[in-house]
Parts: sequence; structure tokens; C-alpha cells
Amino acid sequence: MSRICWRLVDRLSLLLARDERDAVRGDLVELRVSAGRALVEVLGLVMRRQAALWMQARPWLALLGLAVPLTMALSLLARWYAEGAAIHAFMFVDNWTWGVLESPGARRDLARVSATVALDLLALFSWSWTTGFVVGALAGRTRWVHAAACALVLAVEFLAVEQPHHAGHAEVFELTFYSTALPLLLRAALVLAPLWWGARQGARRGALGPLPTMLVAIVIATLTALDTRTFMFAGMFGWWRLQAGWQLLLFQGALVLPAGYMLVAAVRRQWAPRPTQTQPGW
Amino acid sequence: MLGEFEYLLLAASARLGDEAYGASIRQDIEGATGSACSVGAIYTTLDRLEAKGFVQTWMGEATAQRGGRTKRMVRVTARGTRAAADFHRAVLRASQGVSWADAKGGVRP
Repeated sequence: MSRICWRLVDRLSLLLARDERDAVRGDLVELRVSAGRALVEVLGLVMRRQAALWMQARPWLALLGLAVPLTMALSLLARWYAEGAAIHAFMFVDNWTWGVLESPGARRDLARVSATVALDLLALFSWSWTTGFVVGALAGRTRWVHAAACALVLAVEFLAVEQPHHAGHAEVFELTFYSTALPLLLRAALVLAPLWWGARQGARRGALGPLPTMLVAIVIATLTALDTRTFMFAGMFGWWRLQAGWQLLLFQGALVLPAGYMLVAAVRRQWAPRPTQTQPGW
Repeated sequence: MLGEFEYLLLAASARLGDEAYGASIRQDIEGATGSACSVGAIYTTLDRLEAKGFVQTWMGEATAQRGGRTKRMVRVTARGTRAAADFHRAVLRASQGVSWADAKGGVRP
């Protein structure tokens, strides 16, 4: 029991700043505080620190301005992409025949479909990572709340909203793997995991260097532009349909927004005045 | 004006001098007041006092006694000393003409 409590103390302490974590854990060891008491005390300090952090605007901005709406958009995209991936996988994996490779037309179709699915999944991963990065940079040590909120949004979007499948592919979605497991897998692997990874990176670094940021921005802009057709197509089958051109632009704008923020943060860091060194005798 | 716990923390830090850090301050306060105080109370109050310019803190060296972890050392500043002295004088003034000797029977002027 005591070992479990100390492990919990260690995990909870991770929510404190590094120096404070070290000092607090050292004090508890030196004073030979019992495991249960240490847990209560560290929990109390963490709650005080979190409360102080939530008195600022940045965690709220990260939560309500980015994490919740963009996770909703990413979850919606994951739903669309899972639909497309399922139909193509059913066509080329479940009904595989070596004849596909013998026919030039079918070979071209296979290559095009594989490229489209790979592009969609890469785009989903990239949007999720950049969103996570900016959320982490803004939220800092409150990012675990944002991660929990993202997981909740994904779960609600997945469980509470009925999936309107494409009518012509009922056979595909009779299979549990395509109707349930694949959409769940995509949300976990291509939305939640990169969101969390990005948030950790964002909290640690705040901003990337100018060159990596430029690269990220170019990749995001290219993937978003290439995926325009997918958005338009997928919008026909999603529970939320893109009605007009401005809605599509808004959707794309929201997806590239984090990369834009990263670019601005990198430029600001690059141009920020550096501390000057005073020379003795001057 | 200082808070009660802020004063206790300043007094303990001043008394401990070069040996003032989280754990030693806590032991000192617990010894003086006879009641327990938490690590959260110590560290959040230290932050507040540091923000007011009443103490300076820095990370000290790691010791084996603490499992190789560093200490958060504390030093009372001149401003902190003045604030503690003001608080102490205010308490003495406020206590003039009041005897707390007979605590069971209530206040006897």
C-alpha cells in the first residue's frame, strides 16, 4: 500500500515545476512523512498550483479556443477518413485477388487509393500534432486537463453521434472491424496520441526553431490543400455537412491555425531581444 | 501587512539563518505552534513572500539524507525584516491591556 502511495506521489509530483518537485520530495523524505500523508500533502500543493494556473487566460484560451473545437473537427475528420479507408480496405484487402496486379487499370486504382488513404492519415496525424503543440505551449502544466478534455470530446463524438454510413456500402459496415474498431483506432492513433505527444513537446519547448517551423507550416499547408477534395467528398457523408464554400474555408483555416501560431511564435522568439552582456570597465 | 502564517514563516527563516529551507522551516513552525503545517502551505506562502520581496529563495545542494534531492533555501530580505518587525509591533500594540493568562474563563481586561 505504501509503495503504491509513493508511486502516486511521484506521478502527482510531475504536475509541479521541476525545482519544486525536487524540493518537495526531498522535504518529505527528510521529514520521514508517511506515504499516505505525503500523498495528501502533494495533492494539496498540486491543487493549489493548478488553481493558480487556471486564474490566467492562457489555459482557458487553449481549452475553449483550441483543444475542444479542434478536437471536435479532428474527430469528425477521423470519422470521414475511417469511412473512406474502410471502403477501400474492404475492396482491396477483404476482396483481394491477384488479378488486381495483372490489370493496369486496377493497379492504377490501387496506387491512387493507397496514396489517398496514406495522405489522409498523414494529414490527420499532422493536424493533431500541431494542435497538441500549440495547446501544450499555451497550457503548460495544465495540459493534462486539456488532454482529458480532448479524450472526452473524442469519446462523445464517437459514442453519442450516430454514424451515417454511405448507403451503397452497407456490406462493409456490417463488419464490426470497419464500423467500430477502425474509427476507434484512427481516433486513438491519429488524433489522441499525436495530440498528447505534441502537447508534451509544446509545453517543453514553447516554440520550435525557424527552420523546423517553416517545414511544419509547409507540410501542413500542402496537406490541407491536397485534402480539399477529400473534405468536399467526405462532407457529403458526415453528420455535419459543409454547406458552402466559406464553411470549407473556415474548416481548413481552423486546421492550419495551429501551424500559423507556431510560425508566429518562432518568428517572435527569433526576433526577441537577447539579454546583453555587460563588459567590465565600460 | 503580513498574514499570520507569513509572519510565522519569516520568523522561522530568520531564526534558522543559513539553514532555512522547506523542511527545517516546517519543523520550526510545527515546534513553535504545536500544530501541523503542510508542504503546500509552506511553498505557496514562500512564493507569495518572494513576490512581495520579503524573502529570496534559491535551489541549494542535494544531500543523501534527502535521497539526493535539492533544497529550496530561503533568506529574509531587509524589506521582509521590516515587515515582520512592523507586524510584531502591531501585535504587541493590539495586545496591550489584554491578559490571555486565564484562557478558560474568557477575556479579563
